[in-house]
Amino acid sequence: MHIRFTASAAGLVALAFGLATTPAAAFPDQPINYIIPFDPGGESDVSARFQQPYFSKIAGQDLIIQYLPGAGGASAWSGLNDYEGDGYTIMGTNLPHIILQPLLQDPGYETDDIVNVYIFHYTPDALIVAADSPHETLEDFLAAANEAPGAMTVSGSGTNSANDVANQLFENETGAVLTYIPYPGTAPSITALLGGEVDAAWGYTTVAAGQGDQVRTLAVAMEERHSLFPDVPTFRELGYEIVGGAYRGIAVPASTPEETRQELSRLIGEINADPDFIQQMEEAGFALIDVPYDEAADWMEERKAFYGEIAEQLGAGR
Amino acid sequence: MRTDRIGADFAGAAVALFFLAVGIYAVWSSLSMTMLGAIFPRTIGGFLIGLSVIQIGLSLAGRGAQISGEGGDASNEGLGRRLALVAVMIAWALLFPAVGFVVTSFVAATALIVIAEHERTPPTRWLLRTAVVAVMVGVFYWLMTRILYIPIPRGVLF
Amino acid sequence: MEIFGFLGEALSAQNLMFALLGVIGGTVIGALPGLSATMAIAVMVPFTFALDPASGLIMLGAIYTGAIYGGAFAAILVNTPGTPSAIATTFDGYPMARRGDGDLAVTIATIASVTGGLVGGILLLTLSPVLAQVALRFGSTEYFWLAVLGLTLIAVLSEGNLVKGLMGACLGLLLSMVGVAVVGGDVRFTFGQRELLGGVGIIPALIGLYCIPVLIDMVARPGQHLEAPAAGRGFRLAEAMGIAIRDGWNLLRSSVIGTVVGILPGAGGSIASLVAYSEARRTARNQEEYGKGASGGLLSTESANNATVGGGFIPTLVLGIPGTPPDAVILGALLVQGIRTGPALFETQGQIVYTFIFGLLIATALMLPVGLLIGRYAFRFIVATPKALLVPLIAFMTVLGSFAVHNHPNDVVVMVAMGILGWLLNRAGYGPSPIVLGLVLGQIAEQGFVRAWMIGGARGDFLGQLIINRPISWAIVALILVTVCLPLVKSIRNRRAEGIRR
Repeated sequence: MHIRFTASAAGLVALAFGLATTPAAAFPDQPINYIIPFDPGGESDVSARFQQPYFSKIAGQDLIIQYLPGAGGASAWSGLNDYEGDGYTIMGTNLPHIILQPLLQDPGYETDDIVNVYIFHYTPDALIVAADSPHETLEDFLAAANEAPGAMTVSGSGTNSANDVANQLFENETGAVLTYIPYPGTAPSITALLGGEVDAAWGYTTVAAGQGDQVRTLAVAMEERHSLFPDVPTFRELGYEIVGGAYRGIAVPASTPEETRQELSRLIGEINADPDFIQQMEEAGFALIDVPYDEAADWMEERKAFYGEIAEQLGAGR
Repeated sequence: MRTDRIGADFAGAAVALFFLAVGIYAVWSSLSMTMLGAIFPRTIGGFLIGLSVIQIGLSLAGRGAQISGEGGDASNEGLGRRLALVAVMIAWALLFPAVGFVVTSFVAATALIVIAEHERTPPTRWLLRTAVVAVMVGVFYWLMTRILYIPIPRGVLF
Repeated sequence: MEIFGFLGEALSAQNLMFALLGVIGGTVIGALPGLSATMAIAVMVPFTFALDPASGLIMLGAIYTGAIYGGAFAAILVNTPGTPSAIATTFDGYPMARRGDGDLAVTIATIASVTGGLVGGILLLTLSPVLAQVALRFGSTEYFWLAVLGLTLIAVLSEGNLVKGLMGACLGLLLSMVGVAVVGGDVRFTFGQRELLGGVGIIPALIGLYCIPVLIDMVARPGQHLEAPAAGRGFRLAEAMGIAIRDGWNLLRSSVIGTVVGILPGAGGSIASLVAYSEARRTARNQEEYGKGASGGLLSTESANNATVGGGFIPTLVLGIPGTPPDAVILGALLVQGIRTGPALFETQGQIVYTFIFGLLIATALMLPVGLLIGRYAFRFIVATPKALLVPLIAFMTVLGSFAVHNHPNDVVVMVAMGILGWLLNRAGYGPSPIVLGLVLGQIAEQGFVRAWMIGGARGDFLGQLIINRPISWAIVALILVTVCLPLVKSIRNRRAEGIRR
């Protein structure tokens, strides 16, 4: 009896020891929560949904999308580091939001609190008018704007957002004076455009793609023309150095260990390289970029410098 | 407007005073906002101040009647139990992130069983009710985490 | 006709099953305060990718319409709207339940919801492209005046004390301003708390203001919450149908109002039901009974809010602009499946669209048997359960519901705080509805006004933008004036009559 007991006890101890030192089952071994800081149906949601099936295929686990809207994303970002850093919670991030919000308001977090593991796409800014607008080209639009400074109204989603920044950059580059009218989201700002409430709208190539023939895109803020819109010039071509848009990435809580961060970065990079994924995203109007974890910090510094200047202008205007 | 001469409506006046304070606070805060952001707070705050003053007058003159069909029960019957419920709800809301959803909910819900029960009940019934509560908390916990994927705070205990 | 071929597809066993499951799931979710249609739909979306697009859409649509209908259960039985679109249902639904007619109320709500949903669906089927243009005609100015209309309606409905009602509405409006302003970016009224940056959640505030006072009153006294009906009483279906047919004009008008308001992106079921309720009350012969358990009130609100489902799909499918939050999720799902919305959708993707709409109509019709069954059990359950169990159950749902909206524990604190406030205000004669409606309409009113102001400023024509150049706004303002003046005129006439009598 005594021996059997000791044997089983020893066996149990060995088992426990073995389990404790077994290398953890390959990450991920459960589904991963992907938190989107906005309401469903927006660009962040759609790009996440595009990623979902590829993630399951590549990582072998499901990606579960949850929504945590509020304060233009600040509600979610200010709570990011309260989650467990076990790699099973990731959050979508948006630029310029995470840089501008701490500069211009008090959103409850600092830009450096956000640990990005990958920046995987951006939606290039696009200046859009309704199909029945009298402005056929950007030059027409600028001519009208210069005739009556401040009289042209341009809609966009939110204050201190990508659209707001695009408008400010545009005003800087062209010298035009427009009136930016913020709406609670992209959908209402496009409704306003289609309904004639505003003269033009700052949107993205995704919006232009979604609206099809109902809108006309005057220019896009890219380095080269977008494959979906071969006839639409870039701002750069027309002589205005405006390249950018809303960038989206994925972040983890700061307590996430280094290897997990690298692993997540690798996974997302693999999704980004999948040709079917690329095709789906581009057909919807997105523009893919690759800023993996190793490069993320430097890239953020560069973006901070860039937006820093704009922030002063936006802040001063209020 | 019905006017019931029921004597001065002190409760109505006191609450109107509260609204007055809210209105004043709103206007005062709006002074540090941008022009566009301040329009509504200032206007609504102003309305609230005006309305509160009118209401204080009406209430003290005994003309402030209740909103029909909506008035809750203004009696103090069972006040002890009512306050106990309020205390449980406050504790529940504040403690569950720290202590854990399931435990806090179970304890709070059980406390409510006691508060809500007026008659003498045999111990078997208490047990049955506690079991029902436990099952309810368990089922919804499962529903939220496994089906709806809502992250529930773990807290110190479960 | 080709179209009827799609009807056949919608009637396939698979699609029927999805419609049924969707309605059942949606109704249960809608009945539980805090669990919303948007949440349920968002969870189901990935599953629909494995199905063919029409079937997936049918299921999502069925969940949506079931959830809007389900909100009536909690509104009637526990005075807590299951969704914001059921707020106006509490006005007459709960009083009916208190006087023992809870089962009749549920049956009436079912009939009304089915009718509203069918009207909305039929308009979606037949007149979408035309009606979508209505959505575009409504600009910031119109939304502002619409919100003002909603607020005047609340004030007028606060019969007994106009001033208290207006004060409640003002408080609600101020609460809606907590957080980051969309226009201007100011951070307002947050007391430095980062949790308040997102504002005061509508759902937690709604649950708190309506439900907590009910719970507080429930524990105060022994006895059952609702009386048991006489034994052997069934669904009272015949009785309810009789009431519905007699009030048929009300039903139809409310459904149309619901569809039209549903077309306006962002307006939602709460405004629709409120406008419909007010119109029903204004034209009713038994006006004094409204607010105390008039069946007409219940008919109008429930048909209007279900009509917004069909109405909301119109801008979603034709313009790619979601009418309501669930529509936004569905739109996202469509996009991922590669379906492009737009005026051409009905021609190019006719198979999917028409099968979906027919499926939606079928799901709406299925609400009748499903609703009656679930309603019967819900009613029996509430009636039979002793308070000692009912109170913990409902309290648990309030905590769960407020938390589940945005996964913020802070929302539960908001819920309890608003609940205590609501209870104290109730005792002093201030009702919860003006506050909640102020909260719901505040952002719409403020943003509409401020944007109209900015656009007017840009064009150098403030007054023009705000009212003069906007014909639709004239109609809304006219309605506001009528709503405000009619009761005044009536009371002046009454006073004169009394004067003559003396």
